[in-house]
Amino acid sequence: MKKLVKLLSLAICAAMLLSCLTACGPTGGNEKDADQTDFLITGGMGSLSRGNDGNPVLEQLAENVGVEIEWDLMSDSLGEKVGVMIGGDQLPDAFIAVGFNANDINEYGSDGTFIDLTPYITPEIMPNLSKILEDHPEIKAAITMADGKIYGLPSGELMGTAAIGAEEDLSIYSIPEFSMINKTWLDELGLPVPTNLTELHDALVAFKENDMATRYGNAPGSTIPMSTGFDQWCWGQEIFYAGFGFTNFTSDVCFDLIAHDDGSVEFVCASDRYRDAITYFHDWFAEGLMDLEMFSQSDSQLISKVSQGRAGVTTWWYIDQIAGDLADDFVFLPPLDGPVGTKYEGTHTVNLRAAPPVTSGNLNITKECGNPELLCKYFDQWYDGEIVMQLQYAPIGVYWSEKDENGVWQVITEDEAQAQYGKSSGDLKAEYEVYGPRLILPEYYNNVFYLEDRAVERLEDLMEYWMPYVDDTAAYPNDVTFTEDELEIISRYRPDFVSQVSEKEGTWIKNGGPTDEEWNEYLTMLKDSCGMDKLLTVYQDAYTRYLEAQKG
Amino acid sequence: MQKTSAQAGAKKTALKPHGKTLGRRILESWQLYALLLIPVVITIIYKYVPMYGIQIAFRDYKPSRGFFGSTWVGWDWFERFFTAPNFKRMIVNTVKLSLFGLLWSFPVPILLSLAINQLRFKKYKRVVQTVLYAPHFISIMVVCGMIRIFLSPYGGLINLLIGQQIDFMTVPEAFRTIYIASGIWQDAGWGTIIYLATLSAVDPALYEAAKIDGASMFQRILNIDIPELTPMIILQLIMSASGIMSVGFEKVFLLQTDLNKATSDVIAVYVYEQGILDHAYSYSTAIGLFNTVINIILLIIVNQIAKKTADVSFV
Amino acid sequence: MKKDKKSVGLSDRASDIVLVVLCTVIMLIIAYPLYYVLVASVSDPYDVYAGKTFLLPSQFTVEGYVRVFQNSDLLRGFFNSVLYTVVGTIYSLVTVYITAYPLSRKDLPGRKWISIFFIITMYFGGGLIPTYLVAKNTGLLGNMWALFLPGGVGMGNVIIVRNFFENNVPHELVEAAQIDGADDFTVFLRVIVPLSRSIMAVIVVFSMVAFWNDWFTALIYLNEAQYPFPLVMRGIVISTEALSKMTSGMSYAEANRIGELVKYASMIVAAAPMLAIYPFVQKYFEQGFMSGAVKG
Repeated sequence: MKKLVKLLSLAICAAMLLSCLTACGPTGGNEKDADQTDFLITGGMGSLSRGNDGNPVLEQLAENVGVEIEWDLMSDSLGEKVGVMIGGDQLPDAFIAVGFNANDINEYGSDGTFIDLTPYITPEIMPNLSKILEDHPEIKAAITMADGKIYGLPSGELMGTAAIGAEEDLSIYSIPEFSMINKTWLDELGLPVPTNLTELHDALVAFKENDMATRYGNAPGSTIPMSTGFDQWCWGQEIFYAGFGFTNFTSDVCFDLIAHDDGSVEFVCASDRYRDAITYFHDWFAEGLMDLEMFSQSDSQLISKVSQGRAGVTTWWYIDQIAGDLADDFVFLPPLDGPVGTKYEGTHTVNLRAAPPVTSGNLNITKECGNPELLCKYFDQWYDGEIVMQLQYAPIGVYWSEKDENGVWQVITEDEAQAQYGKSSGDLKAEYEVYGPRLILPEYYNNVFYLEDRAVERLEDLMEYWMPYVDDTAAYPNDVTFTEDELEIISRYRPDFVSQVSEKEGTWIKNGGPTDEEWNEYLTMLKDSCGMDKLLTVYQDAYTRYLEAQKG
Repeated sequence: MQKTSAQAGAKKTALKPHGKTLGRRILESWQLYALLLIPVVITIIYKYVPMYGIQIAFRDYKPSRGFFGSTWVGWDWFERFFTAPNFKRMIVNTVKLSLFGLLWSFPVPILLSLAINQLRFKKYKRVVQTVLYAPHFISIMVVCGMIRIFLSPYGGLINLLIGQQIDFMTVPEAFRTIYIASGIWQDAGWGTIIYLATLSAVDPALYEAAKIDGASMFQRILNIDIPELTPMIILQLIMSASGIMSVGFEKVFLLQTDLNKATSDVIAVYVYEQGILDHAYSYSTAIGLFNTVINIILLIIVNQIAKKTADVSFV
Repeated sequence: MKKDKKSVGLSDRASDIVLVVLCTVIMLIIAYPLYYVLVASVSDPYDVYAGKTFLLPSQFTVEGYVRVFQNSDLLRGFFNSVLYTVVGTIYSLVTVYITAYPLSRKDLPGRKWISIFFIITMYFGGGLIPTYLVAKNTGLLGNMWALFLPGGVGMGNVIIVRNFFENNVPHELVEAAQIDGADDFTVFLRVIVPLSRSIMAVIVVFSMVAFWNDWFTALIYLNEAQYPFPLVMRGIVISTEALSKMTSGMSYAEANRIGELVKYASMIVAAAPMLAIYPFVQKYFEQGFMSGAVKG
């Protein structure tokens, strides 16, 4: 009988649950309060961050305008959780650092999940941001959606060559892959640093024949003349295509999409020079000059090979990072001319990669928010150079020690960081860094704070060694905005297109080809099944609009 | 003496009280219904109520417009799936991967458990079992990392053993073997759990009797163990067969390279790729629905066959 | 069992030897990669990639483990997981048993339709968002029960158990009890439950492992303070990966190296508790028939 009672009580519990389902129901959202001063903000943070609570800078900002913010932040699988929250109508007052893409922003903006912020971006409510948008029409263009509205506050790090005093501001990402070659091996073999693909080919053959990796104590036969990844953002093989008249660096918009100075756009993967390049590099692969494992290795595997001195040529963001202790043995191998005896002899073309976009996906106020004006006032404070500097790195007094004679903030030295906190300045940054609508303008560098030394060095190298090889500086921008119809076409065709192109590119490099028949079949497939022409029209139209908006 | 338990089960059916009215039988079984009450309630609330979500396969679902407010698009998503550039290849790859996976991996746990069950040294038996289960606890990410290292053309164990330098990860013909073999390594031991548990229900008196009759170990397996296992084996087979279309995403994705797509391009990875740009809730629901329908058709077929031939059924 | 040894014939002894040799070979094949993971977790990752650690660690280091154990949320995550695993296993065992027993009774009116009612949920689901909405409306957000209830009843397990009841429980005992006038509850609790210990152990192991490894459900429904062990582990792996993106004070190669070490170390730490308690659960598998029969 006892058991029966237990069972019955369980059944009653279940019945209560059921009634709760019908009774509790959707509550129809919280009551909107126009005088709201407490806000719930959900979003992302750095995975090493200690969270926003207790951050002195944020506390001060909140006090300034009299708001209280409850942060609900996570560093892992944010996308899934946010998707469920929006789908489940469990909205906070705003989302921060979610990184919504243009598609999301369009969708959630047009259906009213995110509110239009244009009424609040005025000199009275948001003085800092209004001024920035006035000074930088390109930023305004980037965050204005096709329907003319702004659904989020801008963020972006405009780190480019302007920061080191260049006239044209080129993103530090313009050439993501710096190719490099082991100079000590060349010297030992009495070879010059190659200037064209034929010379590089001969050098690689010499590396292989002389088993140069044994110079670093590696086992005989372990030399990999050239090791890279395949279509990887900073460690791919694409820089070597320059000798054939293009570089198809990976792109967040669409792979193989190349923009030209005259405003035209092309898919290079359907061109003859692309076909020639792939046909040519298959020979290298077949001769064992390129890494057998290039299509499957991870970046860790590549680092392992290069830092252990088994590879003679590679690509990476920067030499020191990949070569480690052997960094001094490597020199840059700037873009090479085409193979001798072909129509590409004596020519090269580098197509740049676009800067990361200024996006409006890192602070979006939702329809739940009763007092967007106050929240906008609060976030306007983020658009101050000294504030954003402290959010990007860490607070003054922790990471920034004092201003120098030019009134620019100085970073704590490694020794001081170790002495005061027992950790590196990098760890300090990771701990205090606040994600969100951070907009770092080029004019902040050298006026508010200095660029990090490594960034300066890379920008200088970019200007000095690499840009002389670049004639056409156009790059398909990451912040082009698309209409809803255009986005529809992109989401319909782009994944298939990208996947098909990569598969064929890899297969041809590895196995040889394409024959005329294969090539025609490939072009037909791209056009018919992967919507290449439709995609190209969309990208061209949007780019044309973008260029016009930039002018005006 | 060598009565199989299937027969025992059949005998049970004979217990069914004939000649009573349905109402009477329902009343008499009230305790059984009481046991089912809680599971039924939980299932209704958490499984049946959310099922309205399936309809987004026929809508263009936008989260804030809700499940009933999003535009009705009919069969659009299905059409898109059927006209995808690699539709045929995806289906073939998915089916082949599951089917070959089933053929190769299904018998292994059965054979292993028959062998382990005959081990008479208890401590040794325990060690064997623990070692066999252990790979199940290794995360897929690490297993795939290990596979890459073992198969590396530079100093990878497999290449050293066969004296070659092949990057197996880029050989389409090798993909299924890699996937299935590593799957057997990881889960065959785990799969024995259920069979060993079933075997442990065998009455030891049966073994004793068989020994007295002079039956060898092989005969004992054949006459006692296998009949005891048969219903569970068939049940497991039905369950696996009705999962043919559901190839998991993570492992295929981690083992895929641009060059082995000819065999590694499966439905689950396609769904993932489509979802990168936007959430594609509707599209993935539609594809999921398609998979489910195929799985159910398979389930019904296999279930019927099993019912007729072995008197074991799923439903 | 010891008594049997006298009656073991020559052919049995031969087959014993064959069996032991066979099992040892299989065991070694299975065990080697496990050993390899262990070695990799204490070796320089770049040597691992270079294929230098097939036998012994290279450049021994415990840095990966140090990083893992430095995490302050680890202990909390561990206790959360223990709680979820214990409660979840009990929940799953109870629901599976009370579902499987009536369904195993061929004399239950409507048995087929009730079975179909449950089996449909194995194949059709409403998807994440509708389930989330129901969980939200039944007050499960931030509640431990969100890990169990939205999963419903583990139908795969129900079918296994039902099948076991039907085919592997000796029905003489059930009939004997029924003739003695026992009602269904009594038969269930006094006969079926004790007689099915071995399959119960299976369900316990399956549920235990599933709840121990589950991180996604926790991520969707729970708050950070409630995160279980695997989710904390994921956080550690991801944060060390993040470390390599942010390289001040440490070279990229160095940060990447630590990331690789942490990947292996965290996996071993995550799996260790399950492997450690396994031998205790295993006892129940061996007891199987005999102890059940004694109790019944």
